[in-house]
Amino acid sequence: MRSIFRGRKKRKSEPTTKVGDTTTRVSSSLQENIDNINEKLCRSQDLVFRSIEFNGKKGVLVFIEPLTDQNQVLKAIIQPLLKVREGKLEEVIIANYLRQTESFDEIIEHLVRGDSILLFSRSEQAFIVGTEATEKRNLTEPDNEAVVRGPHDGLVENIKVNLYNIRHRIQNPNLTVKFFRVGAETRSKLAMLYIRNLAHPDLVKEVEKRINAIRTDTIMSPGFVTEFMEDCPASPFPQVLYTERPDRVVSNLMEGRIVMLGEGDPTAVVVPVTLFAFYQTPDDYHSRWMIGSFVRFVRLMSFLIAFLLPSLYIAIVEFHPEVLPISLIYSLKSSIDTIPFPAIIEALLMELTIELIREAGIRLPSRVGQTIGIVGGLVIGDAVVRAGLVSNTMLIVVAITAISSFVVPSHELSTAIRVMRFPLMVAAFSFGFFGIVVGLIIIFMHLVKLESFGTPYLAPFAPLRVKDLKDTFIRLPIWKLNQRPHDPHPQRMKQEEPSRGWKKDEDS
Amino acid sequence: MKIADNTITQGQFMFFILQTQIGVGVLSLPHQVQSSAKGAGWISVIIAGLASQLIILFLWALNKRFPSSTIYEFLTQLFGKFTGTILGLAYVSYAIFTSADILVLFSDIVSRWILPATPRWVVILIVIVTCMYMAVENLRNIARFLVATSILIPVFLALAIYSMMVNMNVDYIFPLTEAGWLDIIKGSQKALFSMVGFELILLAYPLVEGNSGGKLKAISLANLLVTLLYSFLTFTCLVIFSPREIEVIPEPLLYMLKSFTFNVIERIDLIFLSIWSVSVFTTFISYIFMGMMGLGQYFHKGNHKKAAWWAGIICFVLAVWAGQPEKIRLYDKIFSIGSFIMIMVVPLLLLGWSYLFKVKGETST
Repeated sequence: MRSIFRGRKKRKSEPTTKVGDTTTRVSSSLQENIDNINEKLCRSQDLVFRSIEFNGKKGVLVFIEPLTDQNQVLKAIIQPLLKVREGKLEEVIIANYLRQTESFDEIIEHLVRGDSILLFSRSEQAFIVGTEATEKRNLTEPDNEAVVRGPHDGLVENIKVNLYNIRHRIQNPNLTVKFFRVGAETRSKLAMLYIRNLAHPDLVKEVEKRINAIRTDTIMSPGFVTEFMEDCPASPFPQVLYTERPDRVVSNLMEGRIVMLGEGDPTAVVVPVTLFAFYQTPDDYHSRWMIGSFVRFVRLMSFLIAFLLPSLYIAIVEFHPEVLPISLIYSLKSSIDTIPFPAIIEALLMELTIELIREAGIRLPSRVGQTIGIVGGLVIGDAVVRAGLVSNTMLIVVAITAISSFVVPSHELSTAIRVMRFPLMVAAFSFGFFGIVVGLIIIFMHLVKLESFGTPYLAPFAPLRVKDLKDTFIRLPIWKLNQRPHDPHPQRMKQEEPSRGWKKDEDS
Repeated sequence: MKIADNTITQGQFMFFILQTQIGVGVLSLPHQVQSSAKGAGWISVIIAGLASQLIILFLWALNKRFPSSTIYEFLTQLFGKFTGTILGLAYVSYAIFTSADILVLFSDIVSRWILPATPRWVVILIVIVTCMYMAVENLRNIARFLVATSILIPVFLALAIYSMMVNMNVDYIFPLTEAGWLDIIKGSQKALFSMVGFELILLAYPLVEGNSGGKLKAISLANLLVTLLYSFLTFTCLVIFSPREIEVIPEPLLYMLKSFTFNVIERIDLIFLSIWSVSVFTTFISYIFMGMMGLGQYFHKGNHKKAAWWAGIICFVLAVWAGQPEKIRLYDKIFSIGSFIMIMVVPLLLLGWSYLFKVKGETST
């Protein structure tokens, strides 16, 4: 308690000492200004000073070379200044952003962002010209969220491009963007997006509160932000949705959720989310609803398989072989009898091997990765059975489990499931079916207790809301989903008026 | 904790009571009622359902006089601090003893059917620790959990219907009044004790949203569903086993499922037991929650989380101590007498007292 208190006190006193020994205003002497800037930026050698003359006054143009758009500097500042030597500066310089300031700190802040500064001798005014360079890659489809049909563009590392991408899709004045600077030293830009007349004001306030509470030096990615913001850090389940797809961002915004974008990272963070959000993909909505429902259902089954299959197998082999039909018991027994280990060792061995192959596949370049997959999957699998280390059936179980765990559209949830099945396996090995039931109950209790920004994680299943089940286990036709999901408490529930009224008119 | 965050809807309340009522008793119910009511066991269950509805009415009338206080609060209002606390502690002990009794019966069945080699105390400990994880939460989260696990109840029903259609012999239950009405009513006495759970209204009433009529409807619906489910399961067992058979098998439901097979699963009883243990867990959570709320009220300034440790330890000791069959019978006896007193006699007296001396809680929250 005392250390926390001390920490707080220290934080408060730090900025005051900083302010005390620095220059806060632009000085009238040009040389002094140059020296101060140099001092502030540690005499960094990518800092460029170019002397100019305007209205007969000597001046200097300052910018950080790699951060600025050289062309823009040339066209907006240097060329006009050389051509027109007298007049009002505001009318000469051609730039989107031009500002006059007396504050020295502001100058430094803009320099670091990539803007150019104009200073003149015998003047306490500095001009900030927007010359920020934007480097961006193509809007390619994210590899881990590819879809069969639907838009094939993705978010990129540039926040402005991402905002363009989203605003382009929602052409609505109510789309609100708020910028935050997080990280005391990195000053990373973070954007919070929501639709003003949909997102619940309390939710917006809550998210803002949690963003403002972040006090750290470094923010590398939205992953950092979420770790600071999430409700229950001691949970293996992801409590925010990461996505790199703009269409997914848009559909979540339109449900009244809040999206956060970070500069330098293509990942958008969606809050609040429920477990079912991790099982939805844009593909569900681009195919016919029956097929979409079927695929959705298969995906949710895969959740159970990935969770349960290895532990069920262990429980059956070790405790209750009698649940199987007689003929199956014989074939199972014959394959297990030669194996020296208990089933749990077999299972752990193979599960860990699969994890190894997966991890190796990610780290290696794609060509080599494929080879590893073949070598790992086929050769090791075959050899391990022949060597009598693992039984045939176990190999089948592990393979099906691995495949089902990759069916999950969200990488975070897929990892959570893969991790959670190890304790379940141990429980099954110790107590058979009873162990599995207890393990499942504990996981289920945890999910029921879990909340994401005040939204129950298992909504609309627990608390039960039958209306919202239309888009969870299955997906009903879009004209049946005429209300928004209730879990983010949107301000307006209705999202669709009967659009198939023509049908009735035709029939009568 | 603010009470506003802790309220539950009437639907949740219904499932809360339903899940508390369906519990450890269901497996041996047909055996128990058959021993006195013979083929009319299912009628006994319906009579028991009517009786519990009557008790529910009394409990509800009692709660209606104190609409914004739980049992632990209005006992103090009725009798003053000292006597109220003593009576409240009696309810706490009733709740904790019931939880322990559930554990005793549960661990007994588990060790006979699934885990013969595992020591009983391990099973007991696992159940207590698991349930405590939920019981330390507030009523709303518990209700969410109970509602969500209710999807397992139709599975009960489906299995029973399936097995009834396969090998049914209606002759077994005739003549209906073979045992005589007196014995049928005696049988319903036994059935009543596997249907208790509605006394949780004493605790949950002020936390349920809506008016008193709606609350009565919810709890009556829960009781109706339980009565129907139980009498149906009893009926199924009675038409499948001959009267002789059912006398010797203590858990007819499990034997019934054991006797037939699907093509894929040979022993459905094991699957059924796994599902049924969830129902036991939910009943245990409700009762231990009731006990912990009381302990929290009296010893921890309303914070029931702090009571988790010693409620759990008391429960564990009580449950482990009853290892042998004669002690299990003793527990059963204590439980039936205890619940008779605590949910029938005492509430009636309280109701009478409250009318007689015109003690009433404030009407609106």
